[in-house]
Amino acid sequence: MSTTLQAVQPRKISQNTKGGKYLTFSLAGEEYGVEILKVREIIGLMDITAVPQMPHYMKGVINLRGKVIPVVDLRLKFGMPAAEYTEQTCTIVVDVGNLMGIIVDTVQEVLDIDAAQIDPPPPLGVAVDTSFILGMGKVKEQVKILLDIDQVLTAEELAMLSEMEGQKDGD
Amino acid sequence: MTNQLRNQNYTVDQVRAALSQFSDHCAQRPDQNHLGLLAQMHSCCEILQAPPDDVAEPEARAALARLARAVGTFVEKVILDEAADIATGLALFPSALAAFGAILDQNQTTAADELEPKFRRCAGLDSAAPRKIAPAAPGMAPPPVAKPAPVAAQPKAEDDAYVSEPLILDMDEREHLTGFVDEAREHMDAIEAALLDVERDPTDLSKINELFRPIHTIKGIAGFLNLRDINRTAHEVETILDLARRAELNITPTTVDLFFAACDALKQQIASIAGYLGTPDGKPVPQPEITGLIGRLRLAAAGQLVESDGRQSAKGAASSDEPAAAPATPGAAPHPESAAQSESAKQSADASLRIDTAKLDQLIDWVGELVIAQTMVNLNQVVRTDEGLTRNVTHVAKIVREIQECAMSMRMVPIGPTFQKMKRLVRDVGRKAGKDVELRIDGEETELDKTVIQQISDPLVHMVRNSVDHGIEPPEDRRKVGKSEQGTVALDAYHQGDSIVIEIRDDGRGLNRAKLLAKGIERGLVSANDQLTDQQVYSLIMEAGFSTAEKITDISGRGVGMDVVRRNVEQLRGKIEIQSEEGKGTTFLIRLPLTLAIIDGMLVRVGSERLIIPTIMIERSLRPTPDQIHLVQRHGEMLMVRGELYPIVGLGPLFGYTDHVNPCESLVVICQCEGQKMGLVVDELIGQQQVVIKTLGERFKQIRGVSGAAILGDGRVGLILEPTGLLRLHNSHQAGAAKGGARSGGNDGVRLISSLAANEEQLSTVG
Repeated sequence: MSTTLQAVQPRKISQNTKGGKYLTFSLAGEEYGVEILKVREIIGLMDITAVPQMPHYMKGVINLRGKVIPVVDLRLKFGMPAAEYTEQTCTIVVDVGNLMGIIVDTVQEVLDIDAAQIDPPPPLGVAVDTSFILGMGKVKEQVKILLDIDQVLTAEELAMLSEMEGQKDGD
Repeated sequence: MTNQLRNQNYTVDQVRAALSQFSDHCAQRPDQNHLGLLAQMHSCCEILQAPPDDVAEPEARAALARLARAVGTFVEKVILDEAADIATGLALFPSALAAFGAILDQNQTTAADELEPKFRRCAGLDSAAPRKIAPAAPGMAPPPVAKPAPVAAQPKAEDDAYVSEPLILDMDEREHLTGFVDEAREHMDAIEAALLDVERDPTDLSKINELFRPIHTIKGIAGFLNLRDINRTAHEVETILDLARRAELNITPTTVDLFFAACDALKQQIASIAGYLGTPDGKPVPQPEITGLIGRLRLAAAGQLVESDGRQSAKGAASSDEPAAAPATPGAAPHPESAAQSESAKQSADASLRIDTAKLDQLIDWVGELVIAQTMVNLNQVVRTDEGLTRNVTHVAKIVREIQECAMSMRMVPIGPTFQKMKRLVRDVGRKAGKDVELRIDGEETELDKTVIQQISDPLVHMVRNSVDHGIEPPEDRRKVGKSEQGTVALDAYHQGDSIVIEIRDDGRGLNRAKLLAKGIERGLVSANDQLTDQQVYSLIMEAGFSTAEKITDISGRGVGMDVVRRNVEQLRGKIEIQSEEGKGTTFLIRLPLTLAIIDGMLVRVGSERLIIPTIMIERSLRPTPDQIHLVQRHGEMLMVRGELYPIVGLGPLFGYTDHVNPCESLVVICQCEGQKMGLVVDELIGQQQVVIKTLGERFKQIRGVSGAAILGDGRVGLILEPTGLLRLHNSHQAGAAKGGARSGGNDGVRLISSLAANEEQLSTVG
């Protein structure tokens, strides 16, 4: 597990805290945003094929017009309680080197957020991991948590790796 | 003796174009360092040497050819740094140009006649007869210089040894160099194949010519790109070949060995250039030492190379008789055929196209999608209600199928070249082991997926080497048991059902079942009580490290790397079967799927998920009765069918899809892979279908028991199972369950994972 710690600790100061277009969505009442450049498309919920030996937030794989891509339930990823999937539930397909789907409660809108409107993530103590956060976008008295989606999904990969190690130890 | 094969007459236009090029080159004032330029000039001279009949009066034509030859020889000598007087010769170029012009325009030969001896002198050919004689045009009077004088043709081999210079590649020419490396590799394959043919029959002129062509090409391009060592090596080989095809030198086994050595040197040189191109660092490219080789080649060209052993020189003497008779046969006899061959080869080369494999894979992917989409349309209820629509849809389906077949066939390449490479291997290994082994090749035209060919090549090398080294007995042993001294290894490839079989057969000593079994028991791989079939016993040689330790004289070495071979083959979803009869020989059968892109699978349902089991691994399926199920230590379930025990793997609990199910209430599919057998518990067999394989990607690389995914008819994704991994997962799962104490439900694996995941999340939260 020490690998995970080391891998996550050196926090990169992201250069992406500049303004631009963000796709916003909600997750358990909180508002999030991802850079629009990372978003490939938004699709409704599709049949997901569960893949064994995966962390619980890795829901499985879907068929995106012939491509098999993994989908992550962002609620579970962030340690929020699971929710029933509804008509509103969407999968946002993002490009993080390869395509991946993230399941969110609802997709809201595309917002233009100026660099001036973005604050660095506030120190929230050890209870909240802020390495996934690009910054806090302040739009009309509301706060959108702008995600570094690469970080979210790559960290997950590291987690999986260490898990496999853990599993091997159990062998 | 004229050589008509090389004698290709050019058209007037070509000659004129060559002359104008030559004039351009002269204008650039070449000196001996402009190797590229000189090489181009040499090509121009080659064209001018074979002028067409209608270019000028016959006499003028002969003069033109003579001068061109002299200039060409001089240029070649300059390139090789052997010319006697470079400066004078270079200064003569403008006059040569004028002389060529005079012949072509006014049939004036005086200037040419004057110039020719000058060039010859500059080239260092003054007194001696030329080493290299260019072809004479048909119908042309034999030029005075064309009389070869082999005795005088001794090169200055002994006096100055070749010194190789550090090779520094010009990265501006990177593109050319890469092209050269690719091309040269292909040529090297052709050269080796031709060399083996020449070895078999050193008197066959057409074979020597086949060898000559690629060597000449390599030499030419190497000269152009300033790759001096390669150029020189190829040049020396070419010199010998040229002498041989003019019947001035006999190709002996020693010469052939020398050629093989030269081939190896060339290959090394090409490889080191390729390596350098991968990581250019501006330093000189490491080159193999070729001074000795060049020296020996020169000696061979001078006919002074000593035969290495008695047997060979006897052979050499025998073959030296034949060329003497060769001139008696009409020299032109073998030519039309080989000319036709090269013509057809040329045509087929023109008709093919190199395509990036990635593009092709993409096409195949899309075609796979098309097939699935087509199936979905087909299943749509609306289609069935409308007759016209049904007809159209059927029509489209037919076209889609054709496209699919066509796309698949694009990846297919014949296995012939792979087999051909083994010839060299058999020859070398046989020699080293002191065995006379013949390689027989069949089914060269059988086509396999390109990826399969690439991946099967190494295992094949291994197996062929094993067959020669360990399968075939030494000649004296063979004589003792009444076999012919020459051993045979046969390679064959053919279709059988929907798989391709590659067969490696030897007529050697065969496998010794008793010894194998003893060894297997000693190593604890099998127990003495096991009732093993021959197949199972033979498969022991494919166990890792099986024969590396103790000495079993009979089969020593067999098995080294055979486990790697098996793994490679299984990665290709293939199987190896071994048949053997003691004293008669061994046959290895590699069974491979036709393509890697599609597999035949059995679709099964587990809980709400559908999984695909590769059909090739399925032995049978059954619904067990309670008395067939045996519990081991209250944990592991075993299934006993017809006296054989199989571990039962509950797919549902293992993958976390369902709780533990009673195998008697569901179905058990018996699979085998890598010699291990197991029973997979599934809820339902849905049916057999062909699926297009998709990789799950990097993210899921570590998953055990799943080899990929496929898109099913309804558009959902189905996972393709990989039984070996499953069994391993099952075992560790069982171990985990045993360690954890009580075994409940069967969700342990999942729980283990989620707890680890939670654990990790806590950690990352802390971080």
